[in-house]
Amino acid sequence: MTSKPKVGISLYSYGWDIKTGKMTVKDAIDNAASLNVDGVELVDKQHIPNYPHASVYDLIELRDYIESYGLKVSCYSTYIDDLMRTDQRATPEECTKMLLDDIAEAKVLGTKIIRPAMAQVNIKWLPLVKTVMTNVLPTLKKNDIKQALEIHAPLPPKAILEFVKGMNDDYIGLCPDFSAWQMNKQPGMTDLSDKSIAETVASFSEMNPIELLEECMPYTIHVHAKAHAFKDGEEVTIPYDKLIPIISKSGYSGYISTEFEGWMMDEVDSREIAKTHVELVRRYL
Amino acid sequence: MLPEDSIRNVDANRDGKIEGFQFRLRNPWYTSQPISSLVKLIISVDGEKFEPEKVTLNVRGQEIVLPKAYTMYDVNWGFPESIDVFVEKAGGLKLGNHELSCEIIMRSTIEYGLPEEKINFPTKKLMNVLK
Repeated sequence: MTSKPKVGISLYSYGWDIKTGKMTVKDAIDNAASLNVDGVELVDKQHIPNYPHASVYDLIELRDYIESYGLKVSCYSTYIDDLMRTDQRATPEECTKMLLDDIAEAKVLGTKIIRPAMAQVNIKWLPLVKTVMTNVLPTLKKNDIKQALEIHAPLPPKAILEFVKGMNDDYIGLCPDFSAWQMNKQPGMTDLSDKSIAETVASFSEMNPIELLEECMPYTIHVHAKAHAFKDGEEVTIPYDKLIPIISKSGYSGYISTEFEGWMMDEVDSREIAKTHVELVRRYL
Repeated sequence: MLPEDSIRNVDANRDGKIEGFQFRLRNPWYTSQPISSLVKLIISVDGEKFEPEKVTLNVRGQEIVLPKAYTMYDVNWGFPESIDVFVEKAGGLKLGNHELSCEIIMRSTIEYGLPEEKINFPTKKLMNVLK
């Protein structure tokens, strides 16, 4: 029997309605559950009460609420805030401490995957990432949690792929983000008032060869099905019809987690978006 | 970012004298951020600007004078969360409509490649002071 990917929703997708107070995190979980997905992804800086001082009781409550629907926490997406201080970048030990805290939270949440965003925009920081990842490896193994390094523009996907190959450890894998296969600049970007910011954010998406996803799949432990806008049920700039079948055929059995980011540009109906997005992934599975 | 009915004059000492006004301000960032990421908060009402020393943030009951915020790494502005912003102005604002302008500049705590890792969130709103 061949394995099939699981479909999940990142609660990041409900960003507009959570940010504006129209939905709570629990409302978002309710909605995800109504779409019969297998799991929900949490983002530490958006969904954990009192971040960064997470209470174990709040984490347990969140996990139990998700599991009461028969769902799992598919992935815990975290940020290593290495520019927290105004006078200097965090040291490797400080980054390690942040990541160890995230892993402890992931353990309580019951997830098997953690995705720490760390030094994502410049290849020169990869040695720092390696040091921090190596520092936390024993903890990851002891707790049976794998760490996903995200393939996310503007870093070249090849560099991340080679980095993960070089780490050569089952507990370190890839999380391809579909923004790396986006055909055009993100819709809505031209509406941003600040040109330099618009250009920077636009550079976070890039059209790479489709075949590159095939190459990534043996190392992939989580997938971010990124989207910015839909028309007639299709993502306007990302070729889901090509990307999803590659994942299906690879034998990958982890989560494809829908991650809608269009709410950064414009007001949206998160529930409608989540439904459209999940249907899109399922159409090509 | 600015709830319409949130502005009001404040008599903090309850001595019958108005010391200033306050309003609610929602975190404009897409995640929770430390208060230290607030690089600038320039407040003006009907064109009158207020010095940072006159501005106090109230974050879950914790009062932070604006110039101190820049080095407060361990107090977070949640997502979503609105905080109270108090502006010292003897006598407060006259009742009625005022144009409130908040120019907010926030700094990212991870590297995105933005110029100086900062984003500007300018906002203006006509606010009705009822009391």
